[in-house]
Amino acid sequence: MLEHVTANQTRFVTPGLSADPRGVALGRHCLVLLPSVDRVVGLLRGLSREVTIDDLRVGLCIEQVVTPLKSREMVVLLPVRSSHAADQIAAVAGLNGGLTFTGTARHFVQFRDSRSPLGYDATSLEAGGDGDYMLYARDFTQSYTRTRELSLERLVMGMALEEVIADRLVPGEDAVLRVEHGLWRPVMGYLHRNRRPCAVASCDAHVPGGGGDAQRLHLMRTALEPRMEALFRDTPGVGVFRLITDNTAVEVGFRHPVELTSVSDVFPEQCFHLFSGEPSRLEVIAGEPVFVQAADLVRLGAGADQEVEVLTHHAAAVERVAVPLRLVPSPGVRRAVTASRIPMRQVEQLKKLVYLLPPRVLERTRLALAGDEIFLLGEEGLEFFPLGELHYELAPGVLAPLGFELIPRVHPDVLLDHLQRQGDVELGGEVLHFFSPDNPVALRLPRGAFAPLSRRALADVPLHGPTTGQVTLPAEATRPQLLNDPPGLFPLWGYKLEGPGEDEGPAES
Amino acid sequence: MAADLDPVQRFLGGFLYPLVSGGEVHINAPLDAEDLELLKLAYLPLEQAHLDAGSPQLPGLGERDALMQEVQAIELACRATVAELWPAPPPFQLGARLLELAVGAQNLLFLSHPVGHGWRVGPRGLEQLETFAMQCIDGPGPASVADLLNRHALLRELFHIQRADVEVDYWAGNRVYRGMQPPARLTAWPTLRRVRETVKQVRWLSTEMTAAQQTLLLRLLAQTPLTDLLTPTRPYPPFRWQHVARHLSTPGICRVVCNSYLAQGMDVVGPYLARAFWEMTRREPDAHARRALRLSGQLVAHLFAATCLTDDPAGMLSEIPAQARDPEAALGPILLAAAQCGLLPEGELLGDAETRRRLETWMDAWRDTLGQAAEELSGRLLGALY
Repeated sequence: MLEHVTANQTRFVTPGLSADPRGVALGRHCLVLLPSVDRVVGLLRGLSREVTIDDLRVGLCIEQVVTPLKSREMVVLLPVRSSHAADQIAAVAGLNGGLTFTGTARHFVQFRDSRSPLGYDATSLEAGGDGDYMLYARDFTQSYTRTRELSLERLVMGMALEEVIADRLVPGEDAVLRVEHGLWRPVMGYLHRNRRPCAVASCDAHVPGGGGDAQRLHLMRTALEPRMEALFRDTPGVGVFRLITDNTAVEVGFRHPVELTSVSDVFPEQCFHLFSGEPSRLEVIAGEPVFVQAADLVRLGAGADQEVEVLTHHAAAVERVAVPLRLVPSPGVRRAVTASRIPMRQVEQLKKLVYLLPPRVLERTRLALAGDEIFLLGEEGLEFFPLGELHYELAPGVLAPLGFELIPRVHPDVLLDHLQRQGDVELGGEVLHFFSPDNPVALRLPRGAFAPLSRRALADVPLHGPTTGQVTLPAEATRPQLLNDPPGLFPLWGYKLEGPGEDEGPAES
Repeated sequence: MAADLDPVQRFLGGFLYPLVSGGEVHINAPLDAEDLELLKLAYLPLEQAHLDAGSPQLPGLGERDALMQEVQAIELACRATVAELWPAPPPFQLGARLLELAVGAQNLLFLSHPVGHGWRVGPRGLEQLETFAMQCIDGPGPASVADLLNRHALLRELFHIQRADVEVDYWAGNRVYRGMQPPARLTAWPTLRRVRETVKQVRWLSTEMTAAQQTLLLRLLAQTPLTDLLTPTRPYPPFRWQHVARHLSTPGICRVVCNSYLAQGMDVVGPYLARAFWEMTRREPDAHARRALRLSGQLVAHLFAATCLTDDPAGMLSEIPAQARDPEAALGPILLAAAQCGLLPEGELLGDAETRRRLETWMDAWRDTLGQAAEELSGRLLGALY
């Protein structure tokens, strides 16, 4: 029978049993005794969610055993290195109606439970006849004889899929389509026309243990829109699969009882495995599928016997439809200010402001001079400078005045690409484009021209040096000049006090 | 019948655009109610214009486009004006109310046209013109800060507008052409006819105006309080705190006003602000006047603090004896009175230690020279406020 293991106990009756660092009696293996195969599946399913079964695979053994009275039971032998792992196994086994034992070779004692936190040891060993395993529990001592061994591979591959209600592909998730031989061209053409990424592989698949010839089918790797997923799932001859690992895929709407990523070693790398739900079967494709891009396979518009007419267009023809960019007022949401274009006449205000700014702002803000304007750039915001014409970043490197936007409203990447293609090579590096409502020509400044607005940078800038006097101030804006034009012979003839709705008649003059 | 768009286009291109951006402001035949309606229709959004497509007055798409180009140019110019005052300018839209004000301004300026005093415009015509101008100008005041800024951008130059008057002396007499070129026949043979032309630049506001014009101008100024605040040195109408001081309670507007006064120079705007303050203390105080006194006193204190932030007043102390000759034209007594009445912020709210020291230096110098005036003003201020 069994006795409780006590703290600091070093000697054990059961061979191969020893105390782990926590003092728990533990052998090299955990043996789980289960009443049937479906409980074994339950155990594997539970364990696959918690641990990687691939790590336990060396030494993992699933066997059918019989007692001397010929009752059949299942034994799962799992290698363990710590009592923590054994605790996990015992917990899952307990939920599946199993008993957990620990030991090294033939004699296994019951693993610890709440009654004996440090485990059990046998008071005496039983000979057990010719049994392969001698199990010592609190209630019984029993010998078991191995009758046959079950392969983990066959068990995993032979499991039927479970249906999952309302299972859908996540937007952007890669899908694999299993398409019957006669359907692959229309399906591929449909995906290509709808501008979905698509690659096609032609394969021969066979059902393990099914016998018969290999079946010709096509696999397509693609990303589906939700409407397409529904369409394909309802189309006979087309199956939608979700890639679980590199070489396993499970039909959408179903799941494998075991977490397949946890048992990836079970599936040979040189084969591709398709788990179908309805009817439940596994198709194995020998060899790695070679995918070819659909764009290289779709038929071109012109037939082989038709001459393709080649039209040559001159560049001028394109320029005729080119739409110039226009800056227009935009009463939208106020954007974060990242740059400012300050006229030189506001330099005195800028200088006063610079002396009052906190050091962090001085470090973050960069300054450049171009013509009679000062350009400030603050990637993290420029709210401290209420001077000049404030700009926001419309696209990386494209700066538009606050309250304006560029039309046509092309994508920022397209706009940037367009501006960069027109760029001068000599500017080099990253270039900033400043747009202004007063000037149809965008100003281009290399980012390298901007220096930090620290005290040293300001000293280099001729604004604060004695050369300030050389700065030519712009002429003062002209005041409006009143000019009395000849207003006609009788300027108030027909003058109306009311709008078109109520005619007042001509005024006398 | 298609609408005649010439007056409207002349108004937008020849009058309104130069008024907001500078240049020659042409005063031609004034717009009437029908023209104003046409302007508003042309400015309607396309969708709404489509609904009104049955109206014979509605301009066609091509004409609308031409008008809209003029309107966009005006809007951009106004926005640029606002951008000089306001860091993030609000969107400018030449809406119905702004159009009414602009038409009112044009009619007001037409009243100074030489034709307006001749036989070609009868008294009934003038009366109708004044009535319509009053209809255009009278209306709701600015509803928001953006409206305040936009109205200022549209009308601010009206109070700076100039006119070149040409006086032609010739052998038989002389003639004056106000804002017009003299006819060629009058200046022909200058030597033989002893012709002498004298061109004199005059400010429109400083010229003689009829009573009706003065009323219209006052009403127009009341419609754009920011312009009123920013032009304290105008010759007519004189600056009055009580009409506009309430807008100083908006921090952004107060900042704009401070910047403008400091840019114009305290020595330039100071006498006008000070006289307006003294004038306000002589009136019977009501709730509005008390608020105006408080806000304007605080503004004066803020102006001095801002000056002391960057400039040492030591160099300006020499001007104080000259100010003592006319205490009501000096801001110093207002600052001293504001300090005595508790309107001056205390401690760090006024500025850093150096700023406070500079301000104290200034106040000490004023106490010595303008202490009596400050005492008198302080008494009036205390009586009005508490």
